[in-house]
Amino acid sequence: MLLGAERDEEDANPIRWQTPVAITMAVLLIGEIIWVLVRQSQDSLARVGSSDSDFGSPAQIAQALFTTHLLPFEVASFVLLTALIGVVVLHQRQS
Amino acid sequence: MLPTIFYIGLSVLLFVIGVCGVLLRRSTLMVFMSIELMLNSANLALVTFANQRQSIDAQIMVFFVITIAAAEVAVGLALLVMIFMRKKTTNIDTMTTLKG
Repeated sequence: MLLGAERDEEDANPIRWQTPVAITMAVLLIGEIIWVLVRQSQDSLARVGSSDSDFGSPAQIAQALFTTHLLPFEVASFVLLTALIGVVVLHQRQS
Repeated sequence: MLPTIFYIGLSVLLFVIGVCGVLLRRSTLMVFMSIELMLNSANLALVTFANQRQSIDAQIMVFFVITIAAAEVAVGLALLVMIFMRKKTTNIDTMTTLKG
């Protein structure tokens, strides 16, 4: 395949200690997040947002996107264009 | 609509899966996918809070984050293909060019 995904991770791990360290850190992160959720969010997350049916409608989002946030919208389009050109140039130089 | 805590819980679950992927998998593709998973879980949390606070600006921000993520995926995959063509492997431990 293109990126060799079919022979994924068949080689032995060259850095032997990193798997146990990674597992430890992942467990620590899970514990931390659960602790924060349980301790800090008792009342602040209990409320449900009011079911205002108009909220988040396409018309409302478009209104905000094309008036208040028009400049970031244009900048995002330039970022996408730059990424596109960058990818094309990257592969042109290759071949 | 479900209470906010369920959405946050799903977001936390996705984020932890992404962190485990980054920390445990050694294939660059898998690490890349895990980073995307973490990004999108953060997006989910953001849009959940936007719904709770009835803020349309946060939804616009999620829109921009998704846009930038698309650009990042394109460039990242291109770099990945070039690294694979040069090194003939995607194992992340072999990429030690910048090692001091």
